[in-house]
Amino acid sequence: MKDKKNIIIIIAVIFALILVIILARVFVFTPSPVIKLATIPEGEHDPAVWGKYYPLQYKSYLKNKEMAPTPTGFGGSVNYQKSTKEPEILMNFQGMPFGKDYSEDRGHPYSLQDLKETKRIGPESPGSCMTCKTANLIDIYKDMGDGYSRVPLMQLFGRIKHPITCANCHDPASMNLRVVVPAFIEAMQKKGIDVKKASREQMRSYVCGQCHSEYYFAPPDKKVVFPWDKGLKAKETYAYYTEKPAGFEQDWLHPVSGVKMLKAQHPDFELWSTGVHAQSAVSCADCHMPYMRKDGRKYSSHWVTSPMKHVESSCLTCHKQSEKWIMERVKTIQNNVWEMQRTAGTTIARAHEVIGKAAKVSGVNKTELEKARELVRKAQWFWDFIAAENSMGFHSPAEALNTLGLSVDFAHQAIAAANRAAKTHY
Amino acid sequence: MFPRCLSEKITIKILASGIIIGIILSVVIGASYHLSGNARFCSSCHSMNLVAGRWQLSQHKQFGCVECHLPDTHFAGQFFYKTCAGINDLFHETLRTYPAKIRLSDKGQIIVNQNCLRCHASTVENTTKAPGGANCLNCHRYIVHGRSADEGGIKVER
Repeated sequence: MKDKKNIIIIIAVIFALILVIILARVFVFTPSPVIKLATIPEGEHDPAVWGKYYPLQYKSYLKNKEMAPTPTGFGGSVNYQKSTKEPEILMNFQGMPFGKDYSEDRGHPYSLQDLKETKRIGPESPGSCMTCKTANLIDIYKDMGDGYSRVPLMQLFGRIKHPITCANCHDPASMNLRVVVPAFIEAMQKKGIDVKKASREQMRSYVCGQCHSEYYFAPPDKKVVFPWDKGLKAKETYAYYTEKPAGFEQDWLHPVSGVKMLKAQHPDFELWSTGVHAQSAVSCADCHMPYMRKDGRKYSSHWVTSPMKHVESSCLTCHKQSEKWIMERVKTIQNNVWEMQRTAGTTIARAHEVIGKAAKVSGVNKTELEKARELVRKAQWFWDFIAAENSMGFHSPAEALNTLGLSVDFAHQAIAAANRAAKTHY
Repeated sequence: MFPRCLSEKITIKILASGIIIGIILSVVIGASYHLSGNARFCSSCHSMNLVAGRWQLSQHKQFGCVECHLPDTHFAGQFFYKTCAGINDLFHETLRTYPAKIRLSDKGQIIVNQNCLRCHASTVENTTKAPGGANCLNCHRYIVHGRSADEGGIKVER
């Protein structure tokens, strides 16, 4: 009889305890809706130091070290030579560093290591090359101003300690978003946009756009400049380069076709800005850094990766279809763009060859040949604008396919012009 | 004439305690059903803060959460559904395993649709969107809870 009583008491106590725990968790110790601001001095670029105060964000930042393909098979953060999948790269970038080494990019924590290890860098590389590879840009720019671009990169390496880290996008004093790349700030100024007055939602794209954009090294100082004066599309940036800004005419001379070539670099911000997401005010961070929750506390993921790795947090916030449906949709878009990208790339490679052969024919019509060279230059710019972009067209499918379609046409026109010039049938 | 046993003490005791327990139970069930149907009760959970805040700004703020989120059926059905949902919510709220963005389940969508039609059936009855014709939420899902995006994002304490 006494035992029975004890058991009842014990059960009652356990139930009461569970009830107390539930009530305490639900009503008393609720997760804090705010993040406590830490005092981190300006110039502290070690992400681990920031991570002590912002552990959820830091833990997700560390996931950028993961090297994995994306679920759609395009992009990803596995370091491989792109020419293994697109051999036309070897022809189209012959005679320039990307012909030697064009690997898939890895996450932000690797930016410095990859800069040091790439075969594209040599003793002649200018300081401009480190602009988007490190948080130490902030201190170097403070000391040297625009002059840093002239200093040999090897000389600057002594001052570069960290890859792309927190300070590239955050003001440590307020944790507000900020942009630090001078070229971006200047380019926006020319467009009449003061980035200091930008809204938070705009900043959620600007912090990415400060680096994920097309640029060139303007002579004579090799200063980083964004070619945005006429607009952000492939045809508009091409029109800008046609005017030879500051005397800038070429990135390199193609050894086979003798064309003064341009190299596009990751115009992610540009392509995104023409797409339906940008026009619906969906920022980069909305998809690439979606809100996550841990222990009831909300934080933005700092694992900057393909949204296809977390469709539920990224896409399904707005789209009500299933994860599978979304995945199929993205795969369809990317497969279509990929097919057109390969078509354009291989046609351009053929155009380089044909022009090279035509140029060797004696009595070739020089005016026609120059027309062919101009056409392949343009064709390759249009192709590269999409090929160097990181979304396989997803950021703006219609714009991507339009650009590639024009590229294929320019390349065929180039082949026809070269054959006309030399009266050949290559 | 009463059967004799009814006038015995023990029978009266049992009957009386049965009535008292019955009254207490109905009061408790009724009160908890009523109180838990209160929007303030729902929004006292951290996970519900955002959607409750948006609902307060909506054109449907005069209707409580349960008006749309409980099945359009008899009391027992509603009570059963609510108990199950409540246990599930309490479990995840206590363990804090709820996601950043809470979405309506497929079953939840059917329930909400039924409730849209409780008021709006006459509006759509002569259209292709007549009951059974479409999911109201395909187009109107932002009406009550907005896009449930945090205005200004995560706040930093200064």
